[in-house]
Amino acid sequence: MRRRVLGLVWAASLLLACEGGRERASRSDGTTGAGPVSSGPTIVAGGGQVSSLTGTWDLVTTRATGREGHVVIDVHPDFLSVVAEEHMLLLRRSPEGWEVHHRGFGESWRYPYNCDGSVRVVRGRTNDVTARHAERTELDVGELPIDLGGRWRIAGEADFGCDLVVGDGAVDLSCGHVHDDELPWLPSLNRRNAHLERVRRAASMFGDLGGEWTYREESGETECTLLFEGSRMRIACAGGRRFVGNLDLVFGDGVVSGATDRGIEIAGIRR
Amino acid sequence: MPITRRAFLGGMTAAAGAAVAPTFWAEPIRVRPAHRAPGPVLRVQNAEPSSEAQQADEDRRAAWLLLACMDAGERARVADRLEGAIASEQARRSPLLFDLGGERLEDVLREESQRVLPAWTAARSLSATRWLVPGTSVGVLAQPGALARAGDVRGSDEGPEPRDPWKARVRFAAWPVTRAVRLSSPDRESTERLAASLRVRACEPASTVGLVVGGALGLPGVEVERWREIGRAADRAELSAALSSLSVGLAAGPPEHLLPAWLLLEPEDLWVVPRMAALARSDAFREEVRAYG
Repeated sequence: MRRRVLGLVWAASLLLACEGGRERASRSDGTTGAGPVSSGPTIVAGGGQVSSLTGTWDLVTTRATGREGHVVIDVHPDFLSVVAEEHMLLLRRSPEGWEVHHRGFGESWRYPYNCDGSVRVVRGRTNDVTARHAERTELDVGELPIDLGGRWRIAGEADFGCDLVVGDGAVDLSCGHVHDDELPWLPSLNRRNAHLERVRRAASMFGDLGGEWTYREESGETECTLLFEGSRMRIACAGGRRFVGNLDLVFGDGVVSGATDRGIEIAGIRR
Repeated sequence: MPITRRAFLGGMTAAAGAAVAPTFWAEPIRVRPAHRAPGPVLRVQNAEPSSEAQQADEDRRAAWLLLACMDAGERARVADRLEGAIASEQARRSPLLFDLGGERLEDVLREESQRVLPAWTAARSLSATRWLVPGTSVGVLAQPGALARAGDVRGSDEGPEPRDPWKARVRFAAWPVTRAVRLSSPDRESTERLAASLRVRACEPASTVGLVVGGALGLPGVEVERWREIGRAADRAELSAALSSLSVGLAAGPPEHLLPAWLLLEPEDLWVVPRMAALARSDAFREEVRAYG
């Protein structure tokens, strides 16, 4: 459960990061880069559950001082990808848990992700992480087609790693050395311990995640409030250097829309 | 059941209210009085990328449409603030003047454009010559309903027919057509009152209303000149590219046609466009329009 919460924070922050990254890339290479992106690969769902969020989502983002951005999110029981122009995040289910690949965040690759029905590296450096589901516990996450409950070991390079324990109503995160520069879309995790706790229950399309959560770091630097209520999801963070602000999203029948308090509007539809 | 005096008066009041109240169509394109022009239809075709000139033209139309559809008090507040920032900018550039801590024009423009983002997004989308179907290179054009031909997609839902995912995406792309509601009042005065009420409401952060189009859209000549001057001054201030297109659009003055050709409004009509951020909350949008209309 804790992991699911973090997964949601992760996916939501990606939306923000994709926009931020686009702006950074615009400044560095002189192009705005707006335009359609390739759709994600088609992956036949395997052992996981198929939910109402399963499918390919096309999201449009708009900001006051820029053109439209486009994000494609594939949600499948065995596969999750987020592609936004030069940014890409890919999670694939493995026997041990999930393989996580991300590229373009903090960098400015142009279309590193070629879609011809398969996923392949075109150029540039990949940042690979393995999320090993060391111990599984039952957790109802409603419409999310990802099992989150239990103990996780997230590791990349030799000196990188976080332990995560996702339970019903609480999540604990404990990190050793983490290369923060490559993860600008998350609160700084380098040698941090953090705790997520549900402070109020509420009915939600995300099952046991329903309710209000607080995220606190041991250092006290970043504090977040997460709300999952009905079909609504809200994340509000303050105090951190990188991930601050609010994101509100509401899911409808095959559509999603919302906004950030930093001047981004978001709307999407499932294919 | 005998009709009491109280019940009779209540009934009369309700009837009078209904007569004065605007007509509300939940699906404006499908439900429309026969004596009026049919609502727009959607035509799907290969999308050519917009040229820079087209984009500039759309931005200009969107900027002036936004101003025309803003609450008058809000418009005056923004103009005052921009003029203050422009004066500070000029003071900073002049060797003979001192700027005593005024705001930077670029910062004010960014802040105000964020504040009006929902209306600005709606105005830009409404002013677009075509919308791209997400995930494709296919464009959608809106046409006046009178020009409908085989293959066009109605803007409204199919009703009892099964949901067609492709048509749903086409309609999603053209959200200023398909998710908007048309309100019609019995006379122009009622339309103006209704527009003013909804425009004030649209300024609230929690509102689902993006843009209220219709009523007396022309700005007074003095205001047009004021905004053109703001555009010219902003253009001289060497803004970033995104803000520069906005200032150029303002400096050029209002376009001949503020509304897109597909949007045929009677003088008593309003076209209320939701915020893009509220597209998943269509029911809340319609409820809000009902409540504040």
